[in-house]
Amino acid sequence: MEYQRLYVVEDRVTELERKVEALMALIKLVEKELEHGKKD
Amino acid sequence: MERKIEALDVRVNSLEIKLEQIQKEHSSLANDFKKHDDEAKIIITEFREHKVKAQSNDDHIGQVFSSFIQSIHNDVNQVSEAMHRITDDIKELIKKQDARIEAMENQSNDNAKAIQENTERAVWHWRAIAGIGSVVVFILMTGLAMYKDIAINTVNTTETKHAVEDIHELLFPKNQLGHEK
Repeated sequence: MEYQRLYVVEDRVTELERKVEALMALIKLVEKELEHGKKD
Repeated sequence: MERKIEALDVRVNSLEIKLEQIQKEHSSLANDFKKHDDEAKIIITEFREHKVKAQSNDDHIGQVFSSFIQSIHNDVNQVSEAMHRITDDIKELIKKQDARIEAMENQSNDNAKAIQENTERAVWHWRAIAGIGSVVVFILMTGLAMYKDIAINTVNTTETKHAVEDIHELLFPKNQLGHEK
């Protein structure tokens, strides 16, 4: 039972990591766009 | 299980750090966005003001242009009316000039006719005067010749005869008349 809960938590952590990576990639993209905007 | 929990703990800690980083980035981005948003609002406000000013200028230019066109239209109308008036005046002058020329031609014809009539009349007058003069001269010469003969035949004294002959010689020189004593 405890193992089962642990796997569930592990899956949620994995999903959170993916979302965080995606968010960081998005932030870098926005920063690049802003840099381009400043140059223009 | 213990190891799995520790590994998960490490991953969660790493996630927490990344989340803090994301929050910082988000905050910085939000500030940048707010700054850009404010600048954009200022630009939009200025654009609206310029647009209103441009519209006002456009309206003013339109009114000035319309007034200018109307002014030109009025000038053209005035010039056209003046041209019509001048054309009418010229037509009237030409008509008067034609009438004057016709009157002068008529007068000239009348004068020529009168001159011709006067000339013919004068010729006839001079012919008549010449005819009458010839008759008068003939009568005078005949009369004088007769008077000479009568005087010579009727006077007794030689002195008187000579006097008559001298008068006759004076009036009718012998060479001109061709008479012999």
